Amino acid sequence: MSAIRKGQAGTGVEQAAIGTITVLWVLGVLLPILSLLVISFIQGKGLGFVWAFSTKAYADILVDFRIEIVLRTLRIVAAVTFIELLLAFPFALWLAKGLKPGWLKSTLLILLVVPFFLSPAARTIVWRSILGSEGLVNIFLAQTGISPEPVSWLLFSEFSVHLGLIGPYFPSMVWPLFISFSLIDDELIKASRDLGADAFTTLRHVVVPLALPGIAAGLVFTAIPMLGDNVASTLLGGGNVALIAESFDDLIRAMNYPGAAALASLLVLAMLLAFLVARLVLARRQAGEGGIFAEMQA
Amino acid sequence: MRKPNSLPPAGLFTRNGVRFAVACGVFAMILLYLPIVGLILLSFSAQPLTGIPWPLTIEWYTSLFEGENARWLKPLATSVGIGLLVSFSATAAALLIGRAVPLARRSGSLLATYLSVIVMPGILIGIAILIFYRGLIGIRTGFWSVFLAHFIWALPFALLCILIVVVRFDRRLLDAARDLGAGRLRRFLDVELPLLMPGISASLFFSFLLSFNELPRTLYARGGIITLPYYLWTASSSHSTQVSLIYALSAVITVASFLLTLAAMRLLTRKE
Repeated sequence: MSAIRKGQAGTGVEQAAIGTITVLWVLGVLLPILSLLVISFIQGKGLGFVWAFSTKAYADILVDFRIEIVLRTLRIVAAVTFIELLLAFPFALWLAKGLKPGWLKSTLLILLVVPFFLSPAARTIVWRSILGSEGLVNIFLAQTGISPEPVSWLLFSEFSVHLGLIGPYFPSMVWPLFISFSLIDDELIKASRDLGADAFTTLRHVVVPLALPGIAAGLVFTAIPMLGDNVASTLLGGGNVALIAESFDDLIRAMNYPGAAALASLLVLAMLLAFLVARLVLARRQAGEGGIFAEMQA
Repeated sequence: MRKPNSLPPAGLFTRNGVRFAVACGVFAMILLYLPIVGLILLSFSAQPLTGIPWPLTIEWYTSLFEGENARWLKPLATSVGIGLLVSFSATAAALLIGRAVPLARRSGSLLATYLSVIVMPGILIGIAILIFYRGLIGIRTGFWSVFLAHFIWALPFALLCILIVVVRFDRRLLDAARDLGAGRLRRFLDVELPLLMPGISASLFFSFLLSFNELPRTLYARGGIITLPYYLWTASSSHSTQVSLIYALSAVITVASFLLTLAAMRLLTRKE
């Protein structure tokens, strides 16, 4: 049996190729990303580096206006991620458990895949025509007499940045939720109902605990990429709502590589932290699984 | 399998519950698709910047090839070239890795190594390439670094496409082929490859599209290379007269990408 297994695992050449690619991937892709944590502590010199310890990069970064940008990014990302969760949770649950398989379900799922493969800038730029001071909404408001003066907070404002982020990041939240809801056995939900639980109780004690990995994944998949979003803030913020992405632009243009590395380190740390929290949540859930049954018996 | 006529698990969805769930979904989908539909409508508008689709005109499309306006052709060629290169190399690597995953002893950590980059903000990948390779090691960025950035973006998706078909593949077929005397190459070409083909084609399509439409990673890793999304980005973030042309060009690219994605998904989900 083991001989057959070995035969199936491929030739020695194949094994060596996989090993080589994996080593190259770790050294050429993962190492450069993680190395930013180290690079942020060495001294920059022109476009290169001198191997000497320095915290100057952080001194450059931790100035008032940049702290403000980081905090603003965190606030906007947290708000939009929360909105996504509120919108995606009921919708994904309905898609997974309320909608029978058929053309509607397939179409909705296709519509949730396609955006991943479209140009992010192309689908954001039109908001300018809709929200601008001479745009569609303001023309409508002026013609109906609701607001004769153009409403200026529609575009190049926090409002437009929030609005521009909600659409593109919706599928990232729906998919993990949809998959984890789909994996819940219908019988568990039926059993909960037969035992007299109303919809809310079933949701709280059956659906949410079982979908917790999906919820954690949804939050990570939505919030982390959004931290680096440069499209919505540049096209719809118009310089009034600078996010982290624009700070990178400034730092790179000023050839301040250590500063950019220090700022990027914040993103790397946020990412590692998110992975860690997601793991802890999952570990706690697994440990607590016995507890759920004990609770049920009580 | 649930019987086709049986009701979905009741109790969870009251009539109002369904209405609420649908309303949430419709709201988000409008925010997602309104700008895409709007882009296509406005590309036919005489005055796209006002957001009013009429009066209709095809002026922007016809002028796309006139003199100065045709400057997008070179970035287009660059993007198609890089896209094809990324498409084939990411699919080949994904095929190699994906086939080994079900047999690997530590398949979990192997997958985590490759898939973890999906979550990373795109801009971070570009910055890491620029600072590590250009800053720390001192290699000039250019074509190779754009390729690397796009490869990093495409490989996890390519791997997912391959995994979908690899998991469905019955390895006993290979044992049967071996018992019937087929050599290693024949087993791969005649048995494995045809059955994995839907995933391979989907991976080729998706990898190409991911590279072709990529912007945040390219921004910092590009050196002097101008890809089509970068060209459109600089043109659209400046307030130039080119904007009407940008709408027409973006509309064409978006519709083409949409159709390619549909084709790839069809391949991947087709029942044998």
